[in-house]
Amino acid sequence: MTFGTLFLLASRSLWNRRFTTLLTAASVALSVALLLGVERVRVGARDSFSNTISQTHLIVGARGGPVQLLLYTVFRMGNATNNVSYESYQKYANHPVVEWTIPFSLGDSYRGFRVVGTNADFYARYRYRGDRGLSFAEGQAPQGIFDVALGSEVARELGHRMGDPVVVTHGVTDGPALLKHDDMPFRVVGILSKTGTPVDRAVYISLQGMEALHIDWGDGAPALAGQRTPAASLRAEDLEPKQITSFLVRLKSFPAILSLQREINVDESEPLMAIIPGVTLDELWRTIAYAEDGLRIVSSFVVLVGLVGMLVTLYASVNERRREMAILRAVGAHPRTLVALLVFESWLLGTLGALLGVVGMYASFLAVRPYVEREFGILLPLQSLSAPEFWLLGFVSAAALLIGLVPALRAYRNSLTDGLVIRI
Amino acid sequence: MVQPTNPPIELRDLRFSYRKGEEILRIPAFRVEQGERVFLHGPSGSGKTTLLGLVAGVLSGATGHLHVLGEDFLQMPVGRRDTFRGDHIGYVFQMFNLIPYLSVEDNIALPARMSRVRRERIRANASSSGSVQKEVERLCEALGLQDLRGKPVTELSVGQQQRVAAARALLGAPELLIADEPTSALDADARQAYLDVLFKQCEAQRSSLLFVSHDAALRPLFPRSVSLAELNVTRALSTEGALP
Repeated sequence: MTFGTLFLLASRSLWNRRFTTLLTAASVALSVALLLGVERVRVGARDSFSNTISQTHLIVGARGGPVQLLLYTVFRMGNATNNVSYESYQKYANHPVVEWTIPFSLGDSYRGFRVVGTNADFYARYRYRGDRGLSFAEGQAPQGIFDVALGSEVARELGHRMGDPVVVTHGVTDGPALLKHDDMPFRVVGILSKTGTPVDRAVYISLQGMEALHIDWGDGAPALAGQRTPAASLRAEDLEPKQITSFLVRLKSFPAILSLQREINVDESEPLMAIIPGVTLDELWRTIAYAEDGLRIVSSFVVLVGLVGMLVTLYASVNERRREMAILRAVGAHPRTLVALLVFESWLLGTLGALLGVVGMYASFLAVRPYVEREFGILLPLQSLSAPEFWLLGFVSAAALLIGLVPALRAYRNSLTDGLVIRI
Repeated sequence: MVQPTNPPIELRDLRFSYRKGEEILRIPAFRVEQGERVFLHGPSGSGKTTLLGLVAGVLSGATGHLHVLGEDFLQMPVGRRDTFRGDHIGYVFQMFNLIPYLSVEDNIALPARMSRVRRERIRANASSSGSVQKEVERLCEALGLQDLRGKPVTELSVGQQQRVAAARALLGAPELLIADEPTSALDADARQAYLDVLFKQCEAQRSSLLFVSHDAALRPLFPRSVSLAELNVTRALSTEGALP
């Protein structure tokens, strides 16, 4: 039997059972799409994380866990347990080897978004995804005490425009605001351009504004009514910040990193910690590598389950096809020709499934990409198939070929006993 | 090479058993001559399936002497017997003859796809102008199938299916045609018409025909008829009372 005949018979036969064929191919396709998708989401998430901050040599905060410091400073996840005194900040900001610093003062929220107190250096110096800086879609950086700049996502989600009032909540909360800074009338003066990083999901005020929020507060509670300082009487000069949460540092020269890191870590005036973002990010990856491996193992097994499902379908079809096999033998097919036919069908089905899986993965990525980028700041990679991905497709294809041997050998045995007898 | 003088079927003292000691078939002598049309009357249980399996080269393990178109089938390896069958023997089943997912034309053309010998024979044949496609058309015309060529085989009546099966068996002019109860699902008129067409084509292609049926009423339509119950002495002994 020529290959053309083999192909004709296999493809027509699959087409004849097209509903089953499609369902079987779809189960393989779903499993392949899942495995490819999980891997790509992982890579996309890592890239997005790594690209959130660039050109920063050190992150400095109160002594604690390095990963925690990275998470709350850069990714706005979790909270700081301690602060950095403004004096220490200024000491290092004016250090001779330091090129620039960006201070962050965290701890309040606005309708589920973090409020970040910072200064003009943030808007001018912050870099992400290589050399991209921040810019304003509308308005400008906060200058006055009660000026607020919104990340693009905050503005989009809350539908805020320039000039809208903003009432900040004390503490970080998504739920009902228990303690509102409703005596401090903040106004939107700028909306940042989209970055695709956590920068989009925060609200920015000046360090003085942050100080003003908490003026008169003692022991974590606001001052009693009547003892509050009226907002109108506050002036920037009176609001020298006393502490911040953490700050980013860029050095004039790369080699100074380790010595400055050491200098900060052993600072006797205050328990501080300096981390190198890339190093800590690696540490973070190592921490979650177990989860990633688990996910990868599970999705690999899903591919196996898809292939086993295919095996079951093919095996079940062998008995229904006994008469077809007898007819083929009557026109001169060897029992081993039947083996070739069934193995080829299985291979076709598996390969079709794998290809559908690739199409499905790209299609679903295209569909959910804007949503995932908006909600999670993760850019799903749409680049063409990588070498490991081709290996996976090759594996599925080869596995389908091997799996085809099981129903094929069954058909072989049937054919030897049936011969030209048509059993139905 | 198959010599035209070789008898299509020649067997002597052929014995076969699926299990040791349980002899199913024992035929002292049987011979079909070149161009002959033989009616083999075989009620169920007479060893019909076994004999056909042996003559078509599907069953192995018989003893004695079995030559098909001059080839010693008992010595020939299984794989070569399969190829030989595809090249030289046309086979029509009782029913369900057609591959359900192929069109009428593709079903008829199947032997030409499977066998190079049949392809070459068609090419060498002037009446089909050398192309398989033309030969399929010619057979369709001869068997009254011209309007059904593009149809899915699942939409054909039983009579139509059997004619398609005959066309497939005849394609590429095999020397021997074996028909296993091909008319048992047809009514009397259709049966007569079917046999007329089959005979005519066999004659035109000079194919020999071994026609097996349990229906003794067909016997007068054939120049020669043989009772398998009489041929098979193993069965004749045990089923004496059932003889016609």
